[in-house]
Amino acid sequence: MKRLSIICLLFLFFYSFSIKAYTQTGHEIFSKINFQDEGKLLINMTTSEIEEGYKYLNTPKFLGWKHYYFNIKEEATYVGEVIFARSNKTNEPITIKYSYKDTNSLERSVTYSASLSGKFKKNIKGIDTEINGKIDNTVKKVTSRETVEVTDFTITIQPNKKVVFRETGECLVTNGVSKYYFLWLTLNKGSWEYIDIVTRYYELYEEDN
Amino acid sequence: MKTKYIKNILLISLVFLVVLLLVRKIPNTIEIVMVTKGYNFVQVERDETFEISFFISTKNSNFSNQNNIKSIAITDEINYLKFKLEDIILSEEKVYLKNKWYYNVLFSLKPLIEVTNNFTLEMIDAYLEIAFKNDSYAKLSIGSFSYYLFQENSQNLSITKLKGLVNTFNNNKRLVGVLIGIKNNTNKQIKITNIYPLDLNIKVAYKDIIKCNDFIQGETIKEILGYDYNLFEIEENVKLNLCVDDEIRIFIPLKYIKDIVINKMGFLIEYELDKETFYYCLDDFLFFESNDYLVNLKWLKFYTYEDS
Repeated sequence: MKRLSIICLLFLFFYSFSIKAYTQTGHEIFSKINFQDEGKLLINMTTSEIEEGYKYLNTPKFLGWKHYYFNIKEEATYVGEVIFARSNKTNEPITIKYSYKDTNSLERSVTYSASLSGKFKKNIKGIDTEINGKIDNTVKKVTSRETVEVTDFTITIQPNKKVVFRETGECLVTNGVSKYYFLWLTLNKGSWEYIDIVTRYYELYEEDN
Repeated sequence: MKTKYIKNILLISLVFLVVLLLVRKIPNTIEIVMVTKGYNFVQVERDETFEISFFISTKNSNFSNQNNIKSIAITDEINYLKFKLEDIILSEEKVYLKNKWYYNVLFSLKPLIEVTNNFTLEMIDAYLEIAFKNDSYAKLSIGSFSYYLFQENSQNLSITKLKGLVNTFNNNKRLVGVLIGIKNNTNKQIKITNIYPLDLNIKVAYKDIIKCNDFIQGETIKEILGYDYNLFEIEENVKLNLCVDDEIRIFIPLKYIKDIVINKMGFLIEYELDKETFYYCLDDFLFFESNDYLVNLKWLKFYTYEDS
């Protein structure tokens, strides 16, 4: 009985580390994503819809990855994270200065199913190359850029008010399923999704505490 | 004997030449790409810094090493504003521009100016001038530069909302209007008489200002105003008379004096309270970020520099 309790405790311990924070989009940095035309995020797809994708990859390959795309650079808008929020619970206005540095390192958010190893992230570049051959150059040009933006902003927060600095924007969603073949045998398979941020919009608003 | 003597001299000269060539640092040609746009800097706190970024073809150069830089200034034909270089941020990732890879460098600068009152400096055709310790220098076009120093701000007004409307114009994202929420913190009526955009290229279209609670990003300015809007047609002699009893939210359409990209800007609000004129300075706010200007070569200036 004691041994069973220890096993249960160990299970709970390891299980707790495998739990991921729940987000409506499956990506921590996006709280909401709306497609401009048709499109679906992986998190909103049913198991049968994903299985449908695998059916297109059923012809075995001697060696390497095969990909099926549900969406290729599908245009969408997003609601991002709150970058900054500050309350004033005093009876006097307070002036604060924030410095926001963005190296655009989160320009691409990637998620993939657990069955695909972390190494699959490198394969996204291969997917990019494949996709770029499928679409026109204009889309290719706006992705995978890194620039640095820093800004200082000073604002006064009135008593019993809260100031929120939030990000929204435009993005391109690409998702699909992949299978890895070795000697015509499936060694690995899984679903993946990556989102490229094209434009970020910033807004500031005051609300009651 | 004489031939041997000449041979020796020639040999020594040759060795000397080879050693000289090996010891001498061969200059490395660096390509620099400047993004010309409407740069502006509103300083309401003395420790605020101004950031300017550009692209270099070589990661390690005089441009990326703070110790190699003697002085930095932004100049035009008449004005000269000297800065202290606070920091250099070099991006690890490369950017592909006009068939070549570049690194993004960001300079964080603090103006070296000793004034006690409010101060304005505007340069329509500005250059970033970098003097290096090896006595070389680079003069790089940046577009326009507007600098505003405001050292006091009244508490009669406060900002409750700030959001920029961005539309696509000539294949580039443009800030076409701004939604501002203004709160009157007094128990008397405040009359707003002027709203000055803090960038020399921008004016506010007073006659097109409307009350607006919010908008969805992606809407066009035409959809918000309900009529066609010309971004470059500047109106003259229109007075603003906007009364604020408690709180208002207004959409202020912007006019461009020239075709230029601006993504960050502050405002100076002039208002009357008890027949006395006051000013509220809204610090420069980053309304949007987009890299689409990198696709349009029109905004880019290419330079070469011999790095030694």
